Amino acid sequence: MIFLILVILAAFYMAYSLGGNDAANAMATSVGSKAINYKEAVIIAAVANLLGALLVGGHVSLTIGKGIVSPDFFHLHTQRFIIGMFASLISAGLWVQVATHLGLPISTTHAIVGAVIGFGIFAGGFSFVKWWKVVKIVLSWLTSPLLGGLIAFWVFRFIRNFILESDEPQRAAKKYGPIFSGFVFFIIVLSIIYKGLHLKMPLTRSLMLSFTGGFLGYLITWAFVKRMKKRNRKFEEVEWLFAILQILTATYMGFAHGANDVANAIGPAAGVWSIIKKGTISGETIPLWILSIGGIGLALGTALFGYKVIKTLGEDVTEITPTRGFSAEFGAATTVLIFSKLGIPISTTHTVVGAIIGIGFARGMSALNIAVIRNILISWILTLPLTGITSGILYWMLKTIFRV
Amino acid sequence: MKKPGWLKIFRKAPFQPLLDHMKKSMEVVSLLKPLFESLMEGKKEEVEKTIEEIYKKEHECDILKNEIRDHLPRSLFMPVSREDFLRYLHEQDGLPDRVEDIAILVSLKDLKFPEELKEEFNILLDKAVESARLACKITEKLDELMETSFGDKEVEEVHKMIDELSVLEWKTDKKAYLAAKKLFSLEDKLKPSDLILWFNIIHEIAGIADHADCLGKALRLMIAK
Repeated sequence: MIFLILVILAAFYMAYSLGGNDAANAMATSVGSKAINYKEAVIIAAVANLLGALLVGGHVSLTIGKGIVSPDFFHLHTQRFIIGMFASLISAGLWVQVATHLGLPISTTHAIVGAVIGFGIFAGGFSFVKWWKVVKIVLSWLTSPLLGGLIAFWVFRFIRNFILESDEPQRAAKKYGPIFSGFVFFIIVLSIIYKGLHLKMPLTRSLMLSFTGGFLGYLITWAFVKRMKKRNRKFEEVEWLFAILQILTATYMGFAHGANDVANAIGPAAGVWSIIKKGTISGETIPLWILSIGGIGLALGTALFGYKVIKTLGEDVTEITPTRGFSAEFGAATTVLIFSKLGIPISTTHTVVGAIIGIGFARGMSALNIAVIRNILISWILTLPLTGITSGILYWMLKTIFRV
Repeated sequence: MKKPGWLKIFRKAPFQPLLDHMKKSMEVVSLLKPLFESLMEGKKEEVEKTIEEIYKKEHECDILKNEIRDHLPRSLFMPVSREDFLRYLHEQDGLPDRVEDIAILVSLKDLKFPEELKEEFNILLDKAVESARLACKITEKLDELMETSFGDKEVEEVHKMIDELSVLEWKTDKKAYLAAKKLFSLEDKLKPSDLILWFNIIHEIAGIADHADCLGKALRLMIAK
């Protein structure tokens, strides 16, 4: 029992530091384009993260909690499993903090996956890691920025061809804006009810419900847009409208982030919980209260710590306009939700970067520093061994101390 | 609080500084009219003052230009090619450069403005300044090009402006020819040194339109798909 409390505390700590760093990233483009100020961004991020974690967060958690290491060995050594998960959480949290201080583009997802793999190798040798699952996760780290970039590219091309390039950009924006908004609502509702809430609802009915949600979103935005005032400069009005839509995608992004990244903290804790409660790690669902701890940790981290990050973002990312920010967030959030559904943990940050580069390929960004890609690749290669070795050593130390 | 590393992907875009450079260049170009007006009226002090101002502002243009160049690393990912952008900047910087050359020519000796040349010369000067103004408008248009990510409609509009610029350059050359012809019709009245200087000044003024035209051509390359 004391172990469970310790692991949950560690998970809470991880969720807290994660909320402070990663959640802020999701808001970067919105604050950068001045769609919202940093205080609003903090509130939106915290609430959306909490909801995403609670409603859709369970799937990825299961993968991290027990999908990476083979459960056979740990059925016999439950205490080692618990210690291992504790070690993973601590070492991942540690590296995330160190990297944040050094300004390195590290991903919390990569950190926790690397830590769990490291502990698996130290505990039971190479054969105790489910390598095909690891390959699948690593492949998704390459495919997720690509998919994010592709979606963002096409969303931006659509905005360009049908709104910015139309004879009357303002009217076109008013026409297509609510459709985009409806689409976001559709996906969010679909991801919540289809699998998210563990409702055994048939696909047709959940689709119908999602369509209703989407239509409602369409109507709300339409009513909002109708009251829009005329503005002077040619594209000012369009950008202003997208600034409103961007608040929506920022929320969407926060939601997707909560759904995907709560697992980084809560996955190991969920694994420990199920082995203590049921003596096995084969359960399919994670109790809501564990998800809540992760979600609250995320929200709290965002609220208390994230404002600093978000404030910096607002000052730094000034080159991105609302149409670009909207496209990037839409592409990234959709990608993250798709992968969350598949139960594969991906890096939100890197997906956002992929989406931004996708817009660059559509000639939409005025200046991107491509050298950053190299840093990201290096961090990809370095994060796994670093967190893996740290968590392995920590596991070995704890094992020796507790003699289990 | 260090900013997250991936945010370094955003670089300051060079398009606003480019516009700043253009505006500063136009300040230099617009000093030409007062310069020759003072010369015509024989106000030596005014002429000297204007020349000093041209030197000063041309230098400021150079500083702006170098700042833009310093912030264009090879790893920058822009919607236009780096080479095309630099060529554009080069042509744009040709405008204040030419004005400076003219100021130098005027300052070489105590130059007199031949009364008979006045009409043709002013027509030429107006045309050259007009082409520089159009070039300035084109640089301002880059903002809209960026906003629509080089959408067909904006590109077409800019193409029209570029064509207009070519026509202006051609017209300026014709006016330069007329002004030169007039100048040589006065050869018996003028000192040889004045003749040389005025001929060079006419040549340099026509050069302003040349640079404006080349700027348009550079933009054409920049926005070509």
